[in-house]
Amino acid sequence: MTDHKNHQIPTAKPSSIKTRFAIKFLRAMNKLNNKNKNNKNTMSEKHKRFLAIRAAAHASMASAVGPRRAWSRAVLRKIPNQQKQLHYSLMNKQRTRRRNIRRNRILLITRGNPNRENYDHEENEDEDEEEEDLRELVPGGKEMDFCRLLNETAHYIKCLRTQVQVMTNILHHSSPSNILYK
Amino acid sequence: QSNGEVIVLFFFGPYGGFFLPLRLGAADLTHFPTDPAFIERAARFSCFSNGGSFSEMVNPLTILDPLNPRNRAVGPVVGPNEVFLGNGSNPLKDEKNGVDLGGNQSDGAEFSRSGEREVSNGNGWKKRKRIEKKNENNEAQQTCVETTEIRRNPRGKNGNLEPQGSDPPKEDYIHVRARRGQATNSHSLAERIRREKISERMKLLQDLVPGCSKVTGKAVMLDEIINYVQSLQRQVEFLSMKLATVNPRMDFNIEGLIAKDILQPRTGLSSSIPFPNDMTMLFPPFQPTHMQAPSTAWEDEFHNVFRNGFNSSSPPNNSQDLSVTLPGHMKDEI
Repeated sequence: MTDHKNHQIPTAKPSSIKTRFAIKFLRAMNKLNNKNKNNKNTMSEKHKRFLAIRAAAHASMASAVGPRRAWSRAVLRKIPNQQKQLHYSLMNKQRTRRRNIRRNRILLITRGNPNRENYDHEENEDEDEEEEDLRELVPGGKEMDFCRLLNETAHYIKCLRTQVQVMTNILHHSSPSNILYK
Repeated sequence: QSNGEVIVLFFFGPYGGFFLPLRLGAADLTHFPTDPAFIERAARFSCFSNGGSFSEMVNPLTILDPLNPRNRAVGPVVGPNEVFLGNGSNPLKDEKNGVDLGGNQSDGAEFSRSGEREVSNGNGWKKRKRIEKKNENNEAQQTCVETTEIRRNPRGKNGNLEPQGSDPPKEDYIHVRARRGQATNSHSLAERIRREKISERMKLLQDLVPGCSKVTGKAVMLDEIINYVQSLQRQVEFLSMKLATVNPRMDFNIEGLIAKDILQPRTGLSSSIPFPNDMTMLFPPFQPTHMQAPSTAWEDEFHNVFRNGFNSSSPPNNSQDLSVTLPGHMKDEI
């Protein structure tokens, strides 16, 4: 029953991010399908559907992760869903305040001299562009310091991967004739 | 059990240490545990001769320069059960025996314990100091890896033996040890912390991003990371597009799908999609008139699938649309 690939198969725990995302995404898909009962099948409809599905994917991923991560918070903020925003803000007011206090101290210590003349001058020039790019890619990346950005990127990559896996699975199962050969 | 001997408790407190002579009476002995091991050890040490005055004892202590940032322990290191009995001045630090010196209890963590040592004479005492110092240096170097220590109270250069039982105040300072031969400028220290953290994170990322084990250097690594993130995002877009075209009506059986979803995906999209280097916008070329000339085969795939999805309500028969692993295989015209 289990496919044995070269790598191990991680068994998902019932409450892992993977399953949470899968559940939310499937629910969203069902909602979308129910809405679109009249199958117009025009291009614009499909386009809208695509946009909705993509938005649903991002939103369900972010809500599966929860407000623990800066990137997920940033995504959740963009959702025009009042309920979610309320939930997020209620949960996080105190936590972020305390965290911000601590973070400010650390930033004060670690940022140190903003001019930074002596140390890694060359390194800075080379990497600033890429840093910028990365900040644009990762949601919410513009307001973090670099260290935090790397953290968030790592988690974001993991979540993106699970997202791709789950969506691929859904595709496979829902339309068996549309087999994607290697 | 010797009566009439003076037990001198030397305690290295925040003010440099104080000196607490205790007169042992019979009643006082109840403070000490009466286990035979302890008594034996005490008896052994009672032969510690009154080699010198207190000042002589103090001098060896200054070898452990409390101002030296490399030293972690600043006081005489004694195992918990060692008791120096003798006349005159013998340092003793005794935690577990319930001898409460009041005020500042010594903090076990502050003193580097090198195990119980036995001193048989005055020379041995000095020898032990040197050994301690060496050990401490070794330890300091070994613990260089963790260069940050978080103390609850801002700690001066000499050991503060604040009681650590209280709740930590809200102020958290990150204290860093300067390693040997490195600048202790506060800025450079902060820089160093930052750099180490960053390199740590980069290593983690290296493990995450496939194919990055050979890459060294921050800039290239960042490039790879950026590419990978971009490709993952594109994959998600592609998949959502596929889902949009393929499933207009079906209702998902959530429970059943969840059970199956836990398995790893079959060899499909995730492994076969190369990392495309360049991809222009997927969906401005929505209507044929707006389509740009596809520059990569990657785009060909997308367009082909899209078109096929539109033209027929049934899924496309040609399964070659997504079988591309190398660019250049797909040469479909738009």
